[in-house]
Amino acid sequence: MEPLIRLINIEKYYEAGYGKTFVLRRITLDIKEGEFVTIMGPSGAGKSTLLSILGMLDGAWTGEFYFVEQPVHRLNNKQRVELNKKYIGFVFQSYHLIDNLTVYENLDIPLSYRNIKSSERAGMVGDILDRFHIVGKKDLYPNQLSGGQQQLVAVARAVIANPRLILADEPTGNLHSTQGKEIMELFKRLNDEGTTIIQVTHSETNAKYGHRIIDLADGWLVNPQKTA
Amino acid sequence: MSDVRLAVRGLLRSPGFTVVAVLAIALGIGANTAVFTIVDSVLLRPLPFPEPERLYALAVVRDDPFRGINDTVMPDFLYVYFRKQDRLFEKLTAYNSHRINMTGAGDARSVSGAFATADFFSVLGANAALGRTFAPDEDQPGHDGVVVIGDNLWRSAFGADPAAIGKSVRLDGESHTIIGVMPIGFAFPAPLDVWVPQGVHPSGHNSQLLSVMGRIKPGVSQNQATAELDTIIKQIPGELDVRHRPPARVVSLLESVSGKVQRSLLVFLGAVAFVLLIACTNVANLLLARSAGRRQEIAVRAALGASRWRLIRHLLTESTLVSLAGGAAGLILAVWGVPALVKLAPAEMLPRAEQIGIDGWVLAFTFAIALVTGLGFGIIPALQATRSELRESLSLGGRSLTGRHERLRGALVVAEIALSLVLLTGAGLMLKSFIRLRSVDTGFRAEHLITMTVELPDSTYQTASQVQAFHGRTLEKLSHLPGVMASAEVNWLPFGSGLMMGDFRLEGGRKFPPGLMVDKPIVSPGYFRTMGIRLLRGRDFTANDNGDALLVAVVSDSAAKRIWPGADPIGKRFTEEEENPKPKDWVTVVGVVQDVKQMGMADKPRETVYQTSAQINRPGWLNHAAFVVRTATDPEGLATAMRGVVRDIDRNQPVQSIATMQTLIDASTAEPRFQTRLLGAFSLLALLLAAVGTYGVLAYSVAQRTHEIGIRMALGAERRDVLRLVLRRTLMLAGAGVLIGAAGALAITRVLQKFLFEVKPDDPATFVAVAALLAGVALAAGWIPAWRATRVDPVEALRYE
Repeated sequence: MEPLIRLINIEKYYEAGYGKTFVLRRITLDIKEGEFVTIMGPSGAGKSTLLSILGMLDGAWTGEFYFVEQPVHRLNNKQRVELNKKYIGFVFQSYHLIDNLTVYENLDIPLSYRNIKSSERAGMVGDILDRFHIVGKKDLYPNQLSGGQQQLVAVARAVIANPRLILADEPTGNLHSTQGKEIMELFKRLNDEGTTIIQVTHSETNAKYGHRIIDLADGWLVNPQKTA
Repeated sequence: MSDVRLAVRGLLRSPGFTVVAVLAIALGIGANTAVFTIVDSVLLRPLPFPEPERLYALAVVRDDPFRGINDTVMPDFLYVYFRKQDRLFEKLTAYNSHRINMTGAGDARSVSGAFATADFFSVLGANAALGRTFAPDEDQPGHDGVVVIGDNLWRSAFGADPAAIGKSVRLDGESHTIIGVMPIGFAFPAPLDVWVPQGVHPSGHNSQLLSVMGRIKPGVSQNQATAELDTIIKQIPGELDVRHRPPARVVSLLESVSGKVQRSLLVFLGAVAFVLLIACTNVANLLLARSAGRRQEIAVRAALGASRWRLIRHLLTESTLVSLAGGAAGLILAVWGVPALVKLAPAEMLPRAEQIGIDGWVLAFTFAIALVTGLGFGIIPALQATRSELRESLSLGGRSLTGRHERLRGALVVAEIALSLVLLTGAGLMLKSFIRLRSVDTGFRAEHLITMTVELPDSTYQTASQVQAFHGRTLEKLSHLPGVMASAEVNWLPFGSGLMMGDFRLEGGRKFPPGLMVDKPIVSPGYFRTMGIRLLRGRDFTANDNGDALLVAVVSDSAAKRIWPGADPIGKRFTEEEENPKPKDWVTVVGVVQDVKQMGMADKPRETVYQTSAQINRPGWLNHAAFVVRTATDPEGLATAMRGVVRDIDRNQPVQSIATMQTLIDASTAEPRFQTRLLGAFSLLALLLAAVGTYGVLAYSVAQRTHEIGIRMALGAERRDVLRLVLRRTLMLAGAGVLIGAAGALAITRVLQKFLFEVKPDDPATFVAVAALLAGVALAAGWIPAWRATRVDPVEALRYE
């Protein structure tokens, strides 16, 4: 069976004066459907950049990238956005909820970009509010929630469109340990239900929720097969 | 003082903001100061005479801007009757302005003059700078050989020589001794060259319309004077045309001088006030954006103990400095703009034009609006910036406050669009009206027509045959000029300066329609052909229609229908003679021609009865003549040769004016054109400011929402979704602005009703077109920020949240 993600010699660099500054060097790796992978490494190692490439947010790289058997490197921006919409959900360190929208409206955003009828969308938002036990918070604005609650909404938003892949960039970075644990438990449950998860983290504890760890250093892949 | 210093330093640190804000306010205040200067000089400043509040014009008001006659005037016989009966006025005078031929002081020239009764200057309380004004009996025949001249003529014709007093000049061929020179700036009823005394002696059917003014006795009110005039008009004996018994009006002399332009000027003042409001909302928006960027600074100041009032004072000092600088720059714009505006205005539109200038009141006005403007556009941003929760937001980053700012900025854009829509609708209505006015059929073909007006003095040309001989020779010579296809003569030309009107006695006891006054032009054979006026029935005048032949007339279509309804007018007869007409006094109608616009494009079809010059024996009906020449080529090239024709025939006879027919038509629509252009210019300025404002707000909004747009893109938004997001906001703002503006325009454009020709103030087509234009401009202004939003790099946007 083909892996969900296949990267071959992915490189990313910036033009800097007379030369190039590399952010990622010759990244080659496979990630199978249903895996829970942790990307680790010191600051500036290229973790978030790799996550952006995997999430189709960053299109300026070289190499080959296959996602659900599609050659992403040959797709145009519009086709990449389509892949993102169809298969990927994002969770960020600083939640990135939209301040002037309520919890309900924040959850509705990904659906609004996916040609889903509004009645159907209402049902999906209702389900997810229920599933994450945040029905009581639906009319609140992000600044009326605690950090943990905000991240809970962010995870709910990431999964609302039933993605096959969740990309999480330091999802517990702004949370205290109890809240962080709850979020990681949640990821674990989602992974057990079949969702592939790739997280970037500095936390060894969080890394243990995953199946394997990918170490990055100065843009290079250090140990692609290390288990968590 | 420290507030001012800090504010100056703060403004200098943001030169971009300062320049844009000062410029916007300068445009707004400059336009206001320029228009107010004219309003002040024309409408508000008292007339420069002693006790001007006691000066009144007595009038039959014909209040129609599209007709030639719209002054406060009354018929001569009414003046004479009223003067005899009146008890409330100290003195009364009647006058009329004319072009007058002057010889005896260098070349023969046509000068501007007024014929006035002897009390003219004493009513005004005006004295001569040199010599004297009229003595009480100098308007009586035999004593009226004197003239008072204006300062301009004194300088140009007499080299400002005091010895000009006592010299003789010939005015319309008659000798007049110069008795006085009026001071510089004396310009009543206009800046004239000469004032000639002339008594009022009404006669027969054809009355003369005169301007009448008087100095009311102390303690008498305007209402009492009106009541007196009204009573006396009603007592006047004899059968009178209903048009000569209108409600009496006694208006202040200032109003009679400037009342005609009052509404125009107030509309302009309203328009520039709108421009200033739009400029203010723009600057308020800039200040809001600036204060948002200074949240940190304000929070720190508050944390260090500044009270809210102190912070507001600091911010208001800044906005007031901006508006004062804008006011100063606006004043400079006005200093340049006022002469340009006065020059752009049609000559006859602006009374007291020579008195227009910036004075203490204008300076005070500019200072006051600058101050009010500064406080006005500064107060909301200052209050917003110093809200307590904002000050407490040092550590929160305060992102939640963006929404409130956003709404306020949106509201300001809506206001801008609404204000612009009102102005643009006004301009649109004026433009449509002007286009309609210009496309009216005049009844003749104006292209390739040139006209030359000559006023023969009755002292030199005393008999009709002398006048006819001059005209005959002129026509003969004109017809031989190269390029001339046809030429003819008419006493009062369409779109000229006047006309003769009157009634007739019809044959067979048939009653002349009551109240009807027909135009009575006198033309030469070939006039209709030269002018391109279509002959509908019967025949044109011929050379055989001379003094010995049967008297004949050609009537206009509307005259035929009105005087002989349902009957064939050809062969019908009428006479000018009231009592016992002889057989030779009867005039027979031989032809019918199409109607012609006589006094202006908006003129209704006029009942006109043409007679031919060879059959007229009253020289006074022929003295004033216009020669019309149809050319094969550019008619303007013929002007010099036409002047030469008159000079060859009579060296002392000046030409009053030479103009192409098209120029005369253009001049007749100069006022609506000026109004349309000025309102259009103010509206375009408003549109530009509104577009800049909309762009500014949306660009700022996109910059503020970069992070949100990044999130949305990460969550699957495509470029078109982002584009839609920004443009939807633009459309909502524009839509709200258009709706509110349309409601405002419906209420406000009513003031334009008086200026509109065949267009209603709520004309739906104009409203729709203007709304579409404004929405289009707003969308275009929103497009750039929207496009920029689609270029947001989500990775970058999320990294630098």
